[in-house]
Amino acid sequence: MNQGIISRRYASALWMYAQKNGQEDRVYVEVKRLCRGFSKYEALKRVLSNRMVPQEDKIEVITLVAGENVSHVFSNFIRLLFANKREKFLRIICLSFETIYLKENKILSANLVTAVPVEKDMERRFIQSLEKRTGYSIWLTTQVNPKIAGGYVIMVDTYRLDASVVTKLKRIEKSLLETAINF
Amino acid sequence: MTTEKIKVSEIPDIIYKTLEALDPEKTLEEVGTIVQVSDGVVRIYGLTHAASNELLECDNGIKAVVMNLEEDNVGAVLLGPTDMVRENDVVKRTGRIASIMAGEGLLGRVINPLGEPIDGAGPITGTCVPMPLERKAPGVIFRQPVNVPMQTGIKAIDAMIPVGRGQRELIIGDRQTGKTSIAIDTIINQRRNFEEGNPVYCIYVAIGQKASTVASLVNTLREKGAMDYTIVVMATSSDPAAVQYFAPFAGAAVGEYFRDTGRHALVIYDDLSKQAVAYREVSLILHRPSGREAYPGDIFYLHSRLLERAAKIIEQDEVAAQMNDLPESLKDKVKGGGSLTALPIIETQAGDISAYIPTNVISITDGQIFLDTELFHQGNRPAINIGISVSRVGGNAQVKAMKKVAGTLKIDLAQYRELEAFTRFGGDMDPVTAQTIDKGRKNTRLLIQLPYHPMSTGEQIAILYCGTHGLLKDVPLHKISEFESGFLSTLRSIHAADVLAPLEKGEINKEIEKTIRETAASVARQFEE
Repeated sequence: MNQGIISRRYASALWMYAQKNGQEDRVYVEVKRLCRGFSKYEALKRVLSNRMVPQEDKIEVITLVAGENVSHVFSNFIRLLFANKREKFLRIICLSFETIYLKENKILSANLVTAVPVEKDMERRFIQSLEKRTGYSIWLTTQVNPKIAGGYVIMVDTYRLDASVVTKLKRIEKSLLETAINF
Repeated sequence: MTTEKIKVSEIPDIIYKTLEALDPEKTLEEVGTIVQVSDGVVRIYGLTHAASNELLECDNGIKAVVMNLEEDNVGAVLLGPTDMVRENDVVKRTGRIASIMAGEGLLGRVINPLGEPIDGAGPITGTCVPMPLERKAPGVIFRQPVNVPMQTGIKAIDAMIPVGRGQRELIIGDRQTGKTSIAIDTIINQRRNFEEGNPVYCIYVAIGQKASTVASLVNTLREKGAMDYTIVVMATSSDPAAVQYFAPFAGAAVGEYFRDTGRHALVIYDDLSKQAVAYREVSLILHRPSGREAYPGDIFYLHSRLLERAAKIIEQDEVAAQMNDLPESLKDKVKGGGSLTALPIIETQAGDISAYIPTNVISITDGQIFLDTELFHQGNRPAINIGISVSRVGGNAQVKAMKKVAGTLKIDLAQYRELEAFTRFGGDMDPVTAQTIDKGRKNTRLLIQLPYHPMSTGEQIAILYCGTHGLLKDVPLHKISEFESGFLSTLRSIHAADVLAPLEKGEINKEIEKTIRETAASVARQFEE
């Protein structure tokens, strides 16, 4: 029931601690790497929840995923988390910290998926247009996925605009099936 | 000419839907990422604007319903197999609350709680409207007292524990005591209403049962011609706990469709103990605090909000149209005078009705039909324990003739049981006691009824008249059932119009009573020893 509250409190505390030490950007990078690690390596979660793995080993694994020379802010935070036996909330804490960092710095993260690589000029125009509409700075990452067949999928913060050809085809298929049933 | 070629995407429906889809509000999806997958439950990061009970959809089409709203994540229950969902999958909001498509096309079909057909008879046809699974019950001003009977076709119930349309009557008992049979008999008995053009639509919700049991039950209903007006909502024991938890709500939503369009419906929840167990499972995985028997604190509310949706709606259409929480799709179809009767079933363990869930549901419902294992083994089937069975509002809905004839039956049987306890010690009996005991035994025998053989009201009144007025005194105990069939076949062949027809309408007069007495006497003569 309290997972959200606990993780949010730790994330806020980490943000304040990092800010006081002037290391918020560095901690953000480390947290981001750790987040990516959680998505990439399913075993990471299993290691953290395994009682047979010694605590020091767990901390070492986390440090390794977050980057070899982590800041003392991040390192202290991880030790506190383990001391309080809250390591199972680490992933949501990282996600919460990311959200706080972006919000405080008025940044929106965006991800653009296309079937073929996008030209640099197009990217620039896209960022400008988004910045103008939202009033936030845009951090854009691009991704090429031929599976979407054409069009694009853009994700800004927690919103997604799916204008890919594959989704359009799926919609038409669904409409045709529904029309056939109603006939 | 080439410009006039019609494209597939130019079917009017598709053009309309494409236009609708052009709305940026609708194409922009709010998404979140799954960060944890447990048995049937997922935790999603993001979805900051998700609402409670909102339907979510994974990219692979698996649906989920929001249950827990936390500070920066939401807990949702999956309505599909857990192994098809993985961590880091993207989940989007649909902006709709969990609903089921309800309509006449569902009649005769077996569906799952999502409204998808599972009987292999193709897609659901006809117009369907979305009905929310969770909906507030109608307020007091949109209701009216229960005053129309819901005939079950079972003599013991219609005579002593009458059920009215809009009532919630609990069927409670141990396993293998005939709880489902009573519900099925009630569905079969609605055939007459269906043929007369005043159907009572029946919804049978099977929760956590074996698929084979439900299949044989559907077969029975089909053989008896009851599937024409029946819908079976099925969540078997192999379905995810969330699906079992939602099954009764799906049944209630379909029932409400008929109720709010001015028709009568009957919904059977078989059984709510299994739904409570499924809800406990979901709640524990969601880390909700547990209470007695590890059930969550809102287990009472789970059943009360479900059963409160059974109601008799006010007759005036204009008042009914103002009903609270009406779904948008139903607003132009609302009519007054409809009803939704609920027959929830609870399975007790070793006859313990003071356990947590049975006491909860007993206190919510308008009465209970208690089935006794001992009576069942003695051959008194349906094994209804009259002493502790009660109907709190059904009396007002009982037809006059039945009330007049069977009014004393319950007290007579209670007196008989008390006296019978004394006779077990042996000794002589005075003639009055002997007569009371003889009448009690015969009345008890008279209430025995085969499963899936519901009886019309007229016939019930006629045969119970014989029992309560001592017309069976010369018939030996072991010949009672033969007397009953002989008496009823005589009435059907000779007095269908002058006795059975008025009794069916609830009318009784001296002439009818005289005919019943004469017929009973002539039939009884054949059995005198």
